[in-house]
Amino acid sequence: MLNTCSIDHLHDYLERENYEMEPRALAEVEAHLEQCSDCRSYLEDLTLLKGELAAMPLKALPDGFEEELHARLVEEANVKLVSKSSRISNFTHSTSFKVLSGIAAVLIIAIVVVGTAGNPLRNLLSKAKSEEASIDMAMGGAPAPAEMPAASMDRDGTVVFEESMNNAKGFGETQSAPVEPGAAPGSSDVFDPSLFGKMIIRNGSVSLEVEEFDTAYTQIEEIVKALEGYIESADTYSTPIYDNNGRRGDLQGGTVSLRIPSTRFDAAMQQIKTLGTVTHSNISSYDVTENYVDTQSRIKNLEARELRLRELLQRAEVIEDIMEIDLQLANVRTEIDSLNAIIKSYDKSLQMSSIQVSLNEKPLSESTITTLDDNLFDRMRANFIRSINAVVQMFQTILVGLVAILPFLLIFGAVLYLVLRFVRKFLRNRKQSL
Amino acid sequence: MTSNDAVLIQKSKQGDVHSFELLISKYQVYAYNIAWRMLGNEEDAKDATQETLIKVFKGLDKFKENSEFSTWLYTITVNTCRDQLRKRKKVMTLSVDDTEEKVPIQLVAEESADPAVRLEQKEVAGQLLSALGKIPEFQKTAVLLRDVYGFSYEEIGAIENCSVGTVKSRISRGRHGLRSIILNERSNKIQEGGTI
Repeated sequence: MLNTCSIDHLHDYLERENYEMEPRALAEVEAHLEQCSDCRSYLEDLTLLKGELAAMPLKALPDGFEEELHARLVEEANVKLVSKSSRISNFTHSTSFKVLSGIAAVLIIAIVVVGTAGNPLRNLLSKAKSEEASIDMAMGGAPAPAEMPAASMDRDGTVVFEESMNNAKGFGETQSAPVEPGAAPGSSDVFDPSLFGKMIIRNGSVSLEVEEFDTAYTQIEEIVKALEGYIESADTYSTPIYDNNGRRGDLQGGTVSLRIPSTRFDAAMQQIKTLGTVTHSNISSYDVTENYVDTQSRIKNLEARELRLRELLQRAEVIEDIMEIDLQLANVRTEIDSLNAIIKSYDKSLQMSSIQVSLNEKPLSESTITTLDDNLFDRMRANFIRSINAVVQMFQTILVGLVAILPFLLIFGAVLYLVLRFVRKFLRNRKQSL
Repeated sequence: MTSNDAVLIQKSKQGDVHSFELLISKYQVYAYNIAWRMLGNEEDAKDATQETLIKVFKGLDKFKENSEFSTWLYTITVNTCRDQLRKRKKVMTLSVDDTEEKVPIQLVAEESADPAVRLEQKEVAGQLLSALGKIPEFQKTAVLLRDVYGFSYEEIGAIENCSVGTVKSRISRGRHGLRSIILNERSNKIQEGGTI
């Protein structure tokens, strides 16, 4: 049998087809295998094991895996899109407002001009209006409220959505039915966002410094309950902090994700801001009108196609035709389902705004007077003794230094004495000679 | 990484779900199977795989283009499964530290007294799954990745963030452990008077 360290060589030998062994090691193992039946058996076992492991079948993904994943990915994609738009919204907000204001001014002038003009123009306008209404009928199944655009043109897009929501049946501050978390918001019999002009998804984030995390969290729960929203997720943590005396304390903090009915978004933001000192606040808006209407019309087209395919299927007699139509039907249905998932995701985001609240406790030292240190006198005494010791140490060092350089001083003194004596003698002789 | 993957990654980064689904279509079955073998049941494996793929989609911006996408995805799969195992507190061996890596394999002492005793195909096939559940978690993952799913030593090293030497050591010990467990099962059966 190989020694214990060489067992690894047998595993290398097992893998020799994929990972070339050094010729010397290979020769050694092969020579040993010829002699040692135990190692041969062991290697055969390993080969058998490896073969059985490789033969383990791959398990197919469970039913509904891809559909479920798709819905979650669409939701994540929207979140990604919203966060991206929020980054650029600050930049474009003022510009878009100015452009909208300009368009509104031009429209008002146009309406005034048309209003004072003669019948031909008025007829033309009414014709155009009726055409527009018929397009709306085709797209959304109902005419858009005629008075809404004029009332909303001079205001921010966000406000447009809120107003239209308030005008909608069952949506506004008078709404009494609580919103259930997880329920499909905005199902078509209650709420069709495409009927209400601009569709803006609004999200916000607030960072607060609070006195006590637990109190603030309870207050947030109350606000959420009162506004008929719900807490989507909460993440808490604690950070160690040390005061001036080196004593450890813990500061609690956390992030809470809230879902609040869009109509109460502003109220929620205001109330949350009163819970502590606001260190950061952000509101982002994302206009999904175009995407929403586009997706809806694609669904309608696909549904019409699905209907035609079903009619064809009933009439088909050849097996090949039936199979082909069946395949196409399955594809159409899959596409419809995925687009419906997108609409559902939009509905959820439109109806329930998301607010991220970061809570951080203030360090206690800011609000309390630091007590006198119990060890103050001990520390004073220790420091005083340390200073005395330092002084003593200094004198000792000087003394030792002086003694150390004494021989040099003696030699130097002697040389200096001789030189001075010589100089003095030389000067005296010179004086006498003069 | 294939150029096709690179294009799909770029599109996925912009939030294109369809591209992302195409991108992961090659890898998600393997991710699911790794999770299934690591966690031991389909429901947890499904949750872990979905969580992994969502993490990958959300974190695509952090993915470095010069590294292999599949390796990155499997690293997240393995780590997500380990998180789940930690939560369950059922991890057999929490970590394989250096000291364990350096302990040489005690070949004969821990198994059947007769070194000539051999594995039989029938018992290996029957007991492999339960034996996999009994070896330390890091060894099990290394054996799974190498012998079941055919990853190279280098790929496993990248997934597990360790050296090739460590990977080889874990695989050797893992296979050795599997053999010992299956042989011990047989000797226990013999002692109980059962047939092999």
